[in-house]
Amino acid sequence: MDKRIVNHPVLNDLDEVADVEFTFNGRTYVARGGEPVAVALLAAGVSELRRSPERDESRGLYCGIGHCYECRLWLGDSPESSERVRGCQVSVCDGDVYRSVREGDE
Amino acid sequence: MSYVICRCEDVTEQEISACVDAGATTAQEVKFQTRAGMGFCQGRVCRVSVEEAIESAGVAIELGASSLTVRLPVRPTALADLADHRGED
Repeated sequence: MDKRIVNHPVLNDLDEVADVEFTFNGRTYVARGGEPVAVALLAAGVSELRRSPERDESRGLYCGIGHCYECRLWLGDSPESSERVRGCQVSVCDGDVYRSVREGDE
Repeated sequence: MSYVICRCEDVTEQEISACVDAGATTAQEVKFQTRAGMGFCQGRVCRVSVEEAIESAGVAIELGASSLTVRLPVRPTALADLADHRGED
């Protein structure tokens, strides 16, 4: 499932770029190299990036410009090396491991 | 169903107006009672709405200490990043 716009009337057509693989909450996804992780997930049909802490509602891409932190994720192989990133701002690299919740946290 | 005003702390319009009805007169009081504006984005999304809630209730926002403090353009940063020794003991 790919929701990307390949031929855009105003923007240019999508360039050919190598695909990269990453995981999100244990599942493997394919991204276009260099695209933001939230974009890759949206293209794959994943719009819920985490649950809100109080009401347990879906949270995902909201402003898309790095302002609101709604798309925040944990990036890293282990809890110690994980860092919070904004899904709309960080470019996916091959082998990246993303999680909604850091392992060991709740 | 009420609009979510502060998405970081899950604060709804209803909760904010309830806070104003209960006597809050400044945006800062609303913030301290509801946590609106205290989340990850530090009020970037909800600050205007919180201040608007106070204004529309007929309570003038006093400029200075009582309006929401804004710290721009700095974005939330881990203390470890500031100390520049993340991953080291």
